[in-house]
Amino acid sequence: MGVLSKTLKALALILSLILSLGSTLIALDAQSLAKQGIRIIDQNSYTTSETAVIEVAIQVENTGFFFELYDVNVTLSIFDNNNVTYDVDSGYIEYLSLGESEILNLTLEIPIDVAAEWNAGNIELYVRVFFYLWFGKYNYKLLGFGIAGIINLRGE
Amino acid sequence: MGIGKAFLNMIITFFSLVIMPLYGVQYVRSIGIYILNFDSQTIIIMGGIVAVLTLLSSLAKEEAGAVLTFIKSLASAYYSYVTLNMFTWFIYRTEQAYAELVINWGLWLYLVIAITIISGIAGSLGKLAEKEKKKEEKEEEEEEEEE
Repeated sequence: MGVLSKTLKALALILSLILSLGSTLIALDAQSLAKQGIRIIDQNSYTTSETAVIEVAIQVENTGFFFELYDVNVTLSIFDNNNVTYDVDSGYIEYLSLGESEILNLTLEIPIDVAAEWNAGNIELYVRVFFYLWFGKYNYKLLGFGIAGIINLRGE
Repeated sequence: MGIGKAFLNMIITFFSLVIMPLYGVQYVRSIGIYILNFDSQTIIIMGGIVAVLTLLSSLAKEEAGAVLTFIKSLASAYYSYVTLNMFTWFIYRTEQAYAELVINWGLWLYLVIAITIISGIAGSLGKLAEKEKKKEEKEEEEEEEEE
């Protein structure tokens, strides 16, 4: 019984070490990803007869040291100060190995009269950016992270 | 284990499972970070139960101690499961900025639970081993006396 008890204690210790080490590595990778892994590399806007279009190119790069990225999901939505959502677009990357990067091209459209209201200062428009991804290794998804932020289109 | 040490264990458990999370959450709220799924009542009740079980398992000996140690580890694992699931959605809101963070603990949650339960089983076996050790010592003493 003493041997079994000691074996279990050793197993618990090994699992604790894996947990601590893994948490540290994920924290480092998450920090690196937040700092330099997600970049808006191109932004373009134009109007047609019916809509105002915003095109955004987002580059997602796995700048981490250890973990691979799985199921990277980027969603953009545009809404006004009355919480009316005008458009949603999302992009998906299945897998990003260490150092690999991919570009997602997302487009948001709003009716031209809404754009005119915004230009006149009658309403405020916001873009909500939502990233969701899994840190993993060898095809095992270990920890899921999602980050969302809201940007005022006037840049205020 | 002495009564004093048992009470000290209980106080340390209560501090780390109830006081620290409550003050931690209060602090992050003061800097604008809100934890949406956090429920302080659940933390107090479950942390309190684990603290009491820590006291009882420290005081009880042999089979009763082993059983209580195992029950304590199960309660502790359930506490970890519930608590980690509370820390899944964070909102940072100030006048200038708004951000959300979502965490899915995935495999991490199962690792924490496995470690807690395995440690509990090891502790229970340790308590049972103590009983056997005492028995052996008693038998040795009796043999020495007979000689």
